[in-house]
Amino acid sequence: MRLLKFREIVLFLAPLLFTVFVIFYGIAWNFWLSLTSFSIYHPRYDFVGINTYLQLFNDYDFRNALVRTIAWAGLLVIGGNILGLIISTALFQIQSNRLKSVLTSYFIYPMAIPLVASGVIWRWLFESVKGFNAIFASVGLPKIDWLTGENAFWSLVGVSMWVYSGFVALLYLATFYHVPLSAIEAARVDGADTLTIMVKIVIPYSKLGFILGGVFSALFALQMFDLPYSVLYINPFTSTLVMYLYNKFVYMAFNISSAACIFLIALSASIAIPYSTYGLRKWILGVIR
Amino acid sequence: MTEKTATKKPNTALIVTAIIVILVIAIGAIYFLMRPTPPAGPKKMTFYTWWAGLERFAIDAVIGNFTKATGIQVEKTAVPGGAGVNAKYAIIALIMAGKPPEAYQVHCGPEMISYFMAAPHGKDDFVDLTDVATDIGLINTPAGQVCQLAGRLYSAPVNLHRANLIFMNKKILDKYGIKPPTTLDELTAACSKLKAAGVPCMVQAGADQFTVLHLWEQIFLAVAGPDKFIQFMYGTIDPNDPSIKQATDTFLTFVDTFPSDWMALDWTSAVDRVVKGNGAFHVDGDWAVGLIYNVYPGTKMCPIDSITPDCDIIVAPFPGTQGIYNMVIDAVGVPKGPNQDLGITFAKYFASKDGQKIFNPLKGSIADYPDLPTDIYPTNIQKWEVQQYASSKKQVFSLTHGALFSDVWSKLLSGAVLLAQTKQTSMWYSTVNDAIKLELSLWQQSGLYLGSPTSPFAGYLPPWAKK
Amino acid sequence: MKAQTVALVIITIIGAIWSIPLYAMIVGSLKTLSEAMGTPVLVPPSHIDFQNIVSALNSFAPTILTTSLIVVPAAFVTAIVGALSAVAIRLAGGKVADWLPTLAAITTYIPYQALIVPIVTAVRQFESLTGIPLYDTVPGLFLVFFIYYSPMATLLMFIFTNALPKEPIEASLVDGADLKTIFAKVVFPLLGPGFISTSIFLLINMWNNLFVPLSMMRGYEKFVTLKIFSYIGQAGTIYNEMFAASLIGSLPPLLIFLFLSRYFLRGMLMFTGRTG
Repeated sequence: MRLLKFREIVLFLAPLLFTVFVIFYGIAWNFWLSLTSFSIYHPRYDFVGINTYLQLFNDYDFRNALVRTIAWAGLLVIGGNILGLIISTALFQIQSNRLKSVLTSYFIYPMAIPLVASGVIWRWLFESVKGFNAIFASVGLPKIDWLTGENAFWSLVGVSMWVYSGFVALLYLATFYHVPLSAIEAARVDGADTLTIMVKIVIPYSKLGFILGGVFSALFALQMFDLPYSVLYINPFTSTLVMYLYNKFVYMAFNISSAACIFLIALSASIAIPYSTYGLRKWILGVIR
Repeated sequence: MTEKTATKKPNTALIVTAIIVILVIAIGAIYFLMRPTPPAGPKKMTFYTWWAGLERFAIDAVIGNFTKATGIQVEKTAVPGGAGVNAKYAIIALIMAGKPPEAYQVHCGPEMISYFMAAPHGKDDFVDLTDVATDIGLINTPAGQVCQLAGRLYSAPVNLHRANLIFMNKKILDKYGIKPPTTLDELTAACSKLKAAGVPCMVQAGADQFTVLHLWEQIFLAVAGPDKFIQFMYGTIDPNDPSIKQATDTFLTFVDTFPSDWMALDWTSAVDRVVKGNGAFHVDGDWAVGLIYNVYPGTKMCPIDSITPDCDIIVAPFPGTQGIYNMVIDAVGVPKGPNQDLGITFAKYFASKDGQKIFNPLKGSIADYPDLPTDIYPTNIQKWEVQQYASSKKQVFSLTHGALFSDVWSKLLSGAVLLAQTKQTSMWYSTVNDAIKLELSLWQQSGLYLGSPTSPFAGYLPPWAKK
Repeated sequence: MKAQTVALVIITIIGAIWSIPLYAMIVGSLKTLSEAMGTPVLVPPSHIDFQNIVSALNSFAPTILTTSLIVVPAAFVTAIVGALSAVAIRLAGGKVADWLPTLAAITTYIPYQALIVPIVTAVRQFESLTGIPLYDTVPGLFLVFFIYYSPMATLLMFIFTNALPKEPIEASLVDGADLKTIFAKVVFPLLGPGFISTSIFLLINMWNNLFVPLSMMRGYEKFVTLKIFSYIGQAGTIYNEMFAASLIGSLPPLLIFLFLSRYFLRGMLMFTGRTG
C-alpha cells in the first residue's frame, strides 16, 4: 500500500538498514576469508576458491557437528514446542495475574542463569556420587550412564529443553492474548469445557505461536554453544557447528572457521527464506481473520 | 473496566517504558561522562590471562606488587575455559583486529608460533624478549631454554609445573596391602588387584578430557623414554614405532579400571574421588597439589620418598618416569604496540626472581630459578619438587599442556577420550598418525625449534634446523 | 475438575522438575567449597554459610550496576527500533516487505563469534578516523549490542505485528495520518505482549552474552558474565561463590520481566475487551 511517503519509510528503516549492512560486511569478510588459504597450515592469503569448502566436508569433525546440530534443531523444535505449549496452556488458565507473572518468570529462569554455572550443576547431576544416580541407588533404581557415548547427546538435548522451553511458553502466551474473547465466550456458552476451548479455538489461533516457537527453537539449537561447551568441552557426541567454528578459529584454521560460518548461514537461510517469503506472511495473514 | 480505561492503560505502558529508557540512558550518559579515568592512559595496561578461580590469588598478588613497585596499573582480563580457550579467542581476535593487549599469557613453543601466524606481520608483531630474559638471569635456565625459538625468546616463562605425577590414596593401598608402585608393572598389578576387589583403580576425568590424554602421555613417556618423546613432539618419530602401540595397550588396561561414570567427571571431581577414598590413583600435574592444598586443608600430602603413617595422599613421579621432569610452563608474551614498554616492564617483573617468588608458592608450581630457597613454598610437595628438578636427568615438554599445535592437540585430546570409550585402537592409531604428520609439517613450516642453536632443548636439534 | 486446578497440578509437576538445578545451585552456594565439591548435589549443607552470598553481593553489586546501565537501555532501544522497522516494513509492502525480513532473518542466524574480528576491526578503524573512543566504553558496547541484535528484534516484532488486525491501521491511513502518528497512536499500544517478549529476549541474551563484552572491553569488572567466569580457573573453580554470583547475577533480567509483565498481560485489552 503506497499511502506513505518513501522518505518516512527510509527514516524508520534507517537503523535496521545500517545494522544489516554492518553484519553483511561481517558475513562478506567471512566469505572472503573462506575462499582463501589463510590458516596456520598455510599462513598466506592465497585464493583457493571452493577448496576450503571441500576441505570442510572432508573433515569428519565437521560432518559430525553438522549432523548433530541439525538433529538438535529438530529435537529442540519438537520437544521445546510441545513442552512450551503445555506450560503456556497451563499458565493461561491461572486466574491471578500476579501468580501468572511470577510463574512465567519462574519458567524462564533457566535461560537467565549463566550456562557456565548451570552446566556445572547438570554435569554434577549426571554423575554417580553427586547426582541423580546417588538418589536412584538409594531407592533401588538402576543407575543410568547419562554422559557416556550417545547418551551425552540425549542428556544435553534434554537440558536444552529445560533452558529454552520457558521462553517458548512465553511466546505462546503472547499469542494466546490475541485470541478474541468473543470466540471463547461463545464456545463457553455452548457448553464446551476448557480443554475443548484450548484445543479447538485458542491453539489454532496461535499458529503464530508455532511459528515463533519453531523459529526461535531452531535459532537456539543452531547457535548452541555455551551449554555443550561448559558441560562436556570438546566431546564429539555433543559437538555443534558453532563449537566447530569457534574451535577452528582458536586453533587458527581461520579459513575453515569462516567456511563453516558461511555454511551455517546458508543452512539457516534455507529455513528463513521459505518462512519469510512464503510461509510466514501468507499463512499468518490467512489465519488471523 | 470501561473502554476508556482500557484505552488509557496501554498508553501508560508506553509512557512508563519510555520514561524508564530515557532515565537509564541519562544515568548511563552521566556515569560515562563522570568516569574518573580515561581508557588505557599512559600508565595503564591490559593483561589477558586465563588464571582465575583458585589461582586468582597468585596472579593478583603479582599484579598488586607490580603496581606498588612501578606505579603501572594492570587491568586483568581473566577469562578461562578449557586450556584458556576463551582468552585465546579474545587474544587472537584482538591481534587480528589490530588492537592487541599490552601483555598476555601464553604457553611457550607451538602456541607462540601460532600467534606469529595470526599476526599481520608475523614475528615482527611481537617484542623480542631475549635481552630481557638475559638481564634477569632466566635465559640459561631449562625454562628459559624451552621458551626460546631458534635462539630468540618471545615469551617470558613465569612458572614451572610438573606433569608426570601420580597421586595415590594411602588408606586404600594399605587396606589392600599394595606398596606404592614405582614401575608400570607394579601399577598394572595394583590395578588388577583393586579391580577384582571392586575399587576404581585409576580415576581420570572424561568431561574436560585433559586427564585422559595426560595419562596416555605419561605411559608413553615411561615406555618410549624421553628421547622418543621429544621426537613425538616434533613429529619426527616413526608413526609405526612400537612404543606407541605398547603405550596404547597399557593405557587400555588402565581404562578398564576407570570408575563407570568417568565421562561425567571433571579433573577436580577426579581428585575429589581419590581424596575421599572413592578411587585409588589419579594421574595429573602438580596443579592438583594446589587444589588439594586449598580445598582440602586437612589432607596431608607426602612425596614418595618420605611417607609417614599420617599421610593421606602420596605424590610420586609416574611409574617409569623417575628422573624425568615433564614440564608445563606458562609465560607472558608482549605484542608490539604504542604501550609496549608497559608490557615489557610487566613481563620482566613477572618472570624475574621477585615476581616468581610471589607467584609460584601460591600457584602450586615452582620457580624457574633453581637457586631460590625452598622455604618460600607452603607445601612439602613443592619443596620436594625443587629437589626433583635439580636432580632430574632429562626434561621434556608436556604434550597435553603446550607442546603440541592446537589443532593437533584437540584431535589427540578427543581421540584419547574416544579410545577410552570405544577401545577402537585402529581409529586411535590413525589419529596419532595424522597428528604426527601434521605436527611435523607445522614445525617444518615454521623453521623453528625449541632452544638455541648451541643448546637446543633436550639436546635435540630437529632436521630442518641444521642450517 | 476446574481447569485451573488441572493447570496447577501440571505446573507443580513440571515446576518441581524445573527447580532441581535451581535448588542445587542455592544449596551449593551455601556450602563450603570442599563440601560443594564432595557431597551430593541435592543434599543440603551441613551448616549454612551465608558468607558466599554476602561476598558475592558485595563484589557483584558494582558489576551488576554497570551491566544494567549498558544492557537495559540497549535492550529497550533495540526492541523499539525493531518494532519501528517491523511496522515500516509491513506498511511499505512490495519488494521491501519480501526481502528485508529475509535479510534480517539471515543476519539473525550468524553466530556472533564469527563477527568479532570484523566488528572490532571496524571499531578500530572508526576510532582512528574520527578520534571518538569506542573500544572499552559504555557507548561502544551499547552500539555493538545494538548492531548485533536489531535484526533479531525486527524479526521477532515482524512476526508479532503480522498478527495485528489491519482495520485500525488502514482506517488511520485513510484519515491521512503519517507513519509517525499511526505508529504512536495505533500500533504501539497494541504491541504489549510482543514488545515485552522481544525486550525480555534481548535483555536476557545481552545480559548472558560473553563474547561481545570479552572482545570490546578490558578487564572484567564491568560485565556480569565476564566476572562470573573469573571464578573458574585452571587450578580449580570456586564453585560455591560462582553459584552465589550466578544466582544474584541472573536476578536483574527476571525482576525486570516481573515488573513488565503487568503490561504483558494487559496489552490486548483494546481489541479483545478482555479484563485482567
